[in-house]
Amino acid sequence: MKFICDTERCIDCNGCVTACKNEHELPWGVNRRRVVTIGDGAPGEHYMSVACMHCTDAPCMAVCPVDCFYHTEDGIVLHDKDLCIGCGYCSVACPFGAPQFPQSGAFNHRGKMDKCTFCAGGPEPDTSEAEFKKYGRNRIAEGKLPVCAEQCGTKALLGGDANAIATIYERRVETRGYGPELWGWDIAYKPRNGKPIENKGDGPRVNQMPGAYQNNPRELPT
Amino acid sequence: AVPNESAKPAYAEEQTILQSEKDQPEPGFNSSASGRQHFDRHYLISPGLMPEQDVILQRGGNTWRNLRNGAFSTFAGIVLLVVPFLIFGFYQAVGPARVEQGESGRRITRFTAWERLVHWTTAITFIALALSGIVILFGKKILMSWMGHGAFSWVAIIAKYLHNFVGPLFIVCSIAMFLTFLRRNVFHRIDWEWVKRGGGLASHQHVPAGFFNAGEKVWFWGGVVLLGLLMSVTGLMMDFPYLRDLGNGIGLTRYLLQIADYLHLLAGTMYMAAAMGHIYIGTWGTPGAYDAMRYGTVDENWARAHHELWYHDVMGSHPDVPPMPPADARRI
Amino acid sequence: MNRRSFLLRAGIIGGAGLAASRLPMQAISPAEAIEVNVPPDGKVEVKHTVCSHCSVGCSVEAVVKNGVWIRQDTAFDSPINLGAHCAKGASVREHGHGENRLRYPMKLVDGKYQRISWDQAIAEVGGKLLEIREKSGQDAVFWIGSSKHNNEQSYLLRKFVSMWGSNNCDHQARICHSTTVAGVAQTYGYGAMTNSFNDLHHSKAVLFIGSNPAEAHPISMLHFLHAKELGAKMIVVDPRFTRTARFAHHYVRIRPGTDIAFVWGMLWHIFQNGWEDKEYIAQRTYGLDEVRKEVAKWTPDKVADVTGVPESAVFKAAEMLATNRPSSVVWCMGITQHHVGTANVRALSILQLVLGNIGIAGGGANIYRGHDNVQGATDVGPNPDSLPGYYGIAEGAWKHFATVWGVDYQWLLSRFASKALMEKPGMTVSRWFDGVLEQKEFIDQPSPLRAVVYWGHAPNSQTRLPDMKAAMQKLDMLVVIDPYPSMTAAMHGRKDGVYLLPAATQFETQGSCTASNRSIQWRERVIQPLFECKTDHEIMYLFAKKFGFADQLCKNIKVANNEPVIEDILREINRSCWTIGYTGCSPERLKLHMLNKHTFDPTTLRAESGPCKGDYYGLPWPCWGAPELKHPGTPILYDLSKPVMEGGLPFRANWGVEHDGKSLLAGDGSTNKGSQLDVGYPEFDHVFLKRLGWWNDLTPEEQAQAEGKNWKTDLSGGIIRVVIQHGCAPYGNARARCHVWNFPDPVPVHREPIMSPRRDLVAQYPTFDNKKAFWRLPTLYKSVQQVDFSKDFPLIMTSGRLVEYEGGGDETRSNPWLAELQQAMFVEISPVDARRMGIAKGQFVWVETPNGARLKVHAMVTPRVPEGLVWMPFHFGGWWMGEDLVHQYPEGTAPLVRGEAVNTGWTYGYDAVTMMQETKVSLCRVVRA
Ligand SMILES: Nc1nc2c(c(=O)[nH]1)N[C@H]1C(S)=C(S)[C@@H](COP(=O)(O)OP(=O)(O)OC[C@H]3O[C@@H](n4cnc5c(=O)[nH]c(N)nc54)[C@H](O)[C@@H]3O)O[C@H]1N2
Ligand SMILES: Nc1nc2c(c(=O)[nH]1)N[C@H]1C(S)=C(S)[C@@H](COP(=O)(O)OP(=O)(O)OC[C@H]3O[C@@H](n4cnc5c(=O)[nH]c(N)nc54)[C@H](O)[C@@H]3O)O[C@H]1N2
Ligand code: HEM
Ligand code: HEM
Ligand code: SF4
Ligand code: SF4
Ligand code: SF4
Ligand code: SF4
Ligand code: SF4
Ligand SMILES: [Mo]
Repeated sequence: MKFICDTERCIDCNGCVTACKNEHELPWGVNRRRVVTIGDGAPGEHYMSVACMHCTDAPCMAVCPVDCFYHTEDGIVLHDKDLCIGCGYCSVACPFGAPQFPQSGAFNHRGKMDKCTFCAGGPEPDTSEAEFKKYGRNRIAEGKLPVCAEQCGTKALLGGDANAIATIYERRVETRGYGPELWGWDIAYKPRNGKPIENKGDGPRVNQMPGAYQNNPRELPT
Repeated sequence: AVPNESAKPAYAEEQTILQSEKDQPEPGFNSSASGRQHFDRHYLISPGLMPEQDVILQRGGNTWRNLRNGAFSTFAGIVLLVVPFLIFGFYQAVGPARVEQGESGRRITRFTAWERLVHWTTAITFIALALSGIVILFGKKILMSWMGHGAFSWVAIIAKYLHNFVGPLFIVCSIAMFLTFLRRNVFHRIDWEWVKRGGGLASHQHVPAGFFNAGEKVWFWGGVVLLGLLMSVTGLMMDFPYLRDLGNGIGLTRYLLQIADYLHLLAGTMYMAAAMGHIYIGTWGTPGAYDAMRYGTVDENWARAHHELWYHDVMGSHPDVPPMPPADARRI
Repeated sequence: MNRRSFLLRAGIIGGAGLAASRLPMQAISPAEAIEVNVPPDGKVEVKHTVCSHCSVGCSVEAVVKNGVWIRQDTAFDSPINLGAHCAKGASVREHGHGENRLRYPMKLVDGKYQRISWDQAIAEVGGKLLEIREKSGQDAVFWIGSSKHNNEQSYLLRKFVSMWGSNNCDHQARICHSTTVAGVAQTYGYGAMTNSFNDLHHSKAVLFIGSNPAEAHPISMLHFLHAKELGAKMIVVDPRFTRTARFAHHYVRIRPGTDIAFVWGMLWHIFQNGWEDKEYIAQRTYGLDEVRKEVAKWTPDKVADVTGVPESAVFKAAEMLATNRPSSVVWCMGITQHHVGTANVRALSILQLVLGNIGIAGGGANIYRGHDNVQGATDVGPNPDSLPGYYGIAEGAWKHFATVWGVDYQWLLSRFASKALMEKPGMTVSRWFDGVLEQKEFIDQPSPLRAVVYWGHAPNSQTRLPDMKAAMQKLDMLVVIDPYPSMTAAMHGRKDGVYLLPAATQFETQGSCTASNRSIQWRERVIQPLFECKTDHEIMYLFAKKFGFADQLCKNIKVANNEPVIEDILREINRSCWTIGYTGCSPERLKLHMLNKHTFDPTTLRAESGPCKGDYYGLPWPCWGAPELKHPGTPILYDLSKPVMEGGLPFRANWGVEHDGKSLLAGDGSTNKGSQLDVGYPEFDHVFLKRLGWWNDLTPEEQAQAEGKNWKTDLSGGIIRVVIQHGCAPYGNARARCHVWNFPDPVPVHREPIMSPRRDLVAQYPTFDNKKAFWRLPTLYKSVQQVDFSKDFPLIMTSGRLVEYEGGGDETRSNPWLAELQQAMFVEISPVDARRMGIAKGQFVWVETPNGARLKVHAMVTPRVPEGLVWMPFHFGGWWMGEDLVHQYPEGTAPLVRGEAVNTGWTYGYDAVTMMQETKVSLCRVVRA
């Protein structure tokens, strides 16, 4: 299970942030997701919504002194608040600044760590009251996907099976005719119509054939 | 956990973020930023307790994780295991530095009650810190497997709180100790002699020394002062990680916390290793020394043997009294 | 299907939002989702409602258990938002907690708020109002209604104020899109967004001018970005590099208040290059030659001098828009909130006519409106110059409504002080305090205002707050009817005579609301009113009882437990508002749409199957005729390609058939598909119908009712039915007016802002002359503009929106999920200015303005604004020139985040047609605090 934030779509509307707060009834101060502006106020500005990325080889997990993290069978990184000692190591290690703490007292007094659960709750029985109190809802057990992605204002935020969302993203790039100009993009993704992706934002769309699905506005690209 | 051996910590997401950030200048070595800083919409007042909201990606964390879990803890583990063995070996090979004459029965005061108090509190807090620190660092490897997750979590919580609150206490003690023993730890020429003869530790010679010999002075300066300072500063940083805005853009970042941890870990290892040596010397290594710590008094003969110059000072006797013959010292 | 494979599937759909025609929608409907864990003790229901924070109209699915709103489900089914929300919409459930809400009626006694009962509140407030009415007349009370009310409440409030006997009522539209409504209606026929957010999918270029949808209409970007990904070009014209501008192919930084010059500059290039749609102009427009004359004056050098935009940028904008058709123009507050707001709007309306972009998919004047129901409140709500449905307030209109309401016209007349006052537009919300403070002899009504009722409106959204505060102190009584105390409760500085009555929110009542695209959506009641809150219509009814006209107010409306039945009110609207086709949208049809959202196509908004087959989502008005006619609604206004019965329309014939010897009716052959009249034609009435020989198509009953009536006043709806059956539009088939002879500027001309730093241009392009009695008040133009404030106040000041907060902000700043995201009021200032003044990001500064106010705000140093210009959000309130008024609020009701209100410092300036306040250009200086 993975997230992709499509920076060509994200408008910094913070819908993902409040959807998460609402769904999990998070207290003031705990933001499992945040949106950061890159290049504020200047051409080339863009926004990115970040939360826990549910790393395959998770640094947080590696440094936790009580080993309270675990991977679920879906590849989601969860943790056990009963075990957590609030040392903050996970937040020092996490590349994405995901771990959150309810307190900021002196003597490193942080309370139990909280972070994005990919809406998958915690070790308590699925969708139990205890689970909800500690970790918020377990949407995955309900058969739903992360609420931040579901309610994202522009569908910039994709959350779900890594391959599935990669495919969606790939199709978008094809539709646009230009990628995020990422390193390795041209190697990893091949457009379906065979031509290389060569357009920048405002050029003519040579990759698109008139009859191709991309030109059919009846169909929202995903 | 689903094992995924082949996964590398350079994630796709990281790549994406790095690419998006490409136009932003990388913070240099002279910057305390933990990653590229951006604009944070949650403007002006930190919204959460999460520091550095405006950093999307910090790359020091994974390095820290690799080094801390890897090289640094391996080093610490080896040192902490090997040093006791070395000391034990040394004890077996060389044995303690006894006073040949045996006890005279006359006691002279070496440490005042205050001095003993300072030393004891320092010693106790140090040991508490060392043990709790080890629980934090190695507990999940050495304790958790036999205690179980739940029980170990409690041990770890206790260790954490102990460590976090005792730390500052230890600093206070260290400062008291520094002030108390400072005057007597000034190096003199005579200490050079002691150093040249290796303190006579192995040879069982009693090199003349003042109140403290050069070895103790090294412990004082290198241990209490230098390592103590390192431990204190880095420990305080980790104890107050939210001191974010001290004005002029100075504040703690994850980058600084990582550096603090590196130093804390290394210095702590050295300190613990050195302390083992110190404790050995103060107990089995030098019979009679522990009395000084415990009761504040030492036997005249012990004083004369180990701190001859001080002995003469105290006794008011002539410093030119010939040194005690080292004659049957080798017979134990 | 196991869980993992389910997620795999859901991953595609959920994460994607949806791929409309490709993947079956049902995959995400609750039926297939794995059962929600329902504790045995409670019934879980899903209530369908609509976000109340802006006009996009996003659906919200509220999960309710035991009467408690426990969750918000993703409303994937809505063709408008496909489940998406911005920060505000994703957090509306907080309304169900309402921690900082008003809990019970309160009264100010000795400077402290005390709890009172509803009975006491109605008795005291009602009694006092009656006393004022007795002594100083009906017009001494000003009723400020709300664009937050649903259509039924808005309508009922206008009816209520009418029966009180006054036209002194208004609502947010005044200070929002009043200039749009006036300008567009006078040009095309209706004052509304012509197309829809969804229709942008068809656009090949879109010009956003004075609009920042990424923050103000975030979910509209879902649709626009889709168009952009399909290759649409994007032009953004804004003084500020907004979050919308970040996406633009072409961003144009303009000097505030110079949009007419810019648009004429674009037209100059369009005419120069022959990009105009000549046939369209010949067939469907009137008076463009006048415009050509004005445009000819705007040579590129002049445009560059006035707007600050280089010729190349103007050319590029013109070329992009003109050569990538269909192209759409989106405008918002950057255009409307000026003393020339109406002219601005007209310039853009003309631009779209010239390009032939009106009435086609992908084109249109896409005016993004403001509040969730500002469109509806404008259509049927408390407007000082019109009864519901834009009927106006002339005698005929009163008679029409007297019939609909089932009351006697003479009785209605007797409620007013005089027939003259009955037919004279009331004051506007932008100026009510001048109606208190102005000397009696200058006020164009018998008495100054003595009481004001803020019924769902914040005070910090109106300018010149120090004047407002003085007026509040002079009033006999100040009443707030609102779920929140709003800044009104804190800023007045009075010791008594203030009442706060807790209203229910839109989630605690039901009713219809009209989104920006004219789609009408039905909100179900999510929860019962919290605390002692009452719904607005119940409060209206209670006051009507006290005033003695409850029976007349609810003659055709059932009342249950003091609450007029919402459905009955809507049916009354259905029976009366023929002008704008609020007649086909019966409660039953609207409810059916809401429950079958998934059957509507997210691009065309048309239901392809299901019980609403053929309808457009929310029956975008005009939805002609009675509900039984089953008109599908009009998704695109003035679209000739469809028969009227399928949502097509020509331009409206509202100004006669000819002017200055030129025909106002559409050119020959320019009619709707399927029209039996192949020429332009006037609006329909009984005479015209008879002349055409269509009279006998009416049933005898219809004939009886339609005799002597026109399409607007025929209560049988027969005229409309028959006309539509003949393929014609009830309102005629005319030309759009490029020349509006009844406006101060028939063709828009550039006029420097009232507060302009360009003194040379002020001389060249001066504002209007002062007006003596304009909406009952003397209004200054030249005499303010002539003072040179720019010496002392060198920075241009403008204001706008943040995505997290809405309006005056009391609701949103009280919502912790939102408040946490923006905790301090700030001023955006460019790095150049900041460096010059020695200001660093995050420091406090004072913003000082020509009206003597000083605002203590944080400095946000950012290149988003250019040198010489500062920008502030207007959602903050609760501070007064450096002082936090937290203790002035009733206990426990102060918003979580408070800050300086920008309007404390905002200056004088009003639109010359609608009295819109000029909140987008003023002057200020910034000093370090
Ligand atoms: N989050 C949020 N959304 C809202 C609302 C809200 O309060 N909060 N309110 C709703 C309401 S009531 C409304 S009316 C809409 C308003 O929506 P918008 O009008 O889009 O929002 P604003 O930020 O007021 O103004 C838009 C832009 O106009 C620019 N501008 C200022 N002066 C000029 C000028 O002279 N010329 C031009 N071309 N541009 C200028 C400003 O820089 C600003 O970026 O938003 C609605 N949506
Ligand atoms: N400087 C500056 N000033 C501006 C603007 C600007 O851009 N710059 N924009 C202008 C514009 S476009 C607008 S629309 C206005 C907006 O300004 P306002 O409309 O005054 O601001 P809101 O806070 O949205 O006010 C709505 C009020 O209605 C209450 N309310 C919500 N639901 C209900 C309900 O069901 N019943 C009742 N009775 N009350 C309810 C809310 O609690 C709130 O107090 O501000 C205008 N002022
Ligand atoms: C339980 C463990 C310890 C024991 C048994 C112990 C023992 C002793 C003894 C016997 C002495 C006296 C030596 C003499 O009389 O010359 C001494 C001195 C001293 N000890 Fe310890 N010690 C312990 C822990 C510590 C710790 C943790 C510290 C500091 C971190 C410390 C710092 C000192 C210092 C500074 C001196 C004085 C020597 C000098 O200043 O040079 N001791 N210790
Ligand atoms: C001088 C003896 C000390 C020793 C031997 C010691 C040892 C350790 C060790 C081994 C760790 C674990 C490092 C890791 O897991 O990477 C640690 C962590 C820590 N130490 Fe110390 N430390 C000492 C003193 C202090 C002092 C004086 C302070 C504070 C004033 C302090 C504060 C901390 C903090 C805050 C942590 C982080 C762990 C947590 O918060 O749970 N330490 N220490
Ligand atoms: S908390 Fe950080 S390190 Fe851990 S899985 Fe999430 S993103 Fe990775
Ligand atoms: S804060 Fe909790 S979860 Fe994070 S590393 Fe420490 S014990 Fe583990
Ligand atoms: S996946 Fe769930 S927990 Fe994680 S950020 Fe999104 S909404 Fe919050
Ligand atoms: S909801 Fe979507 S568009 Fe809005 S900030 Fe979050 S990721 Fe970006
Ligand atoms: S505020 Fe507007 S855009 Fe945001 S969720 Fe509500 S209706 Fe949609
Ligand atoms: Mo508005």
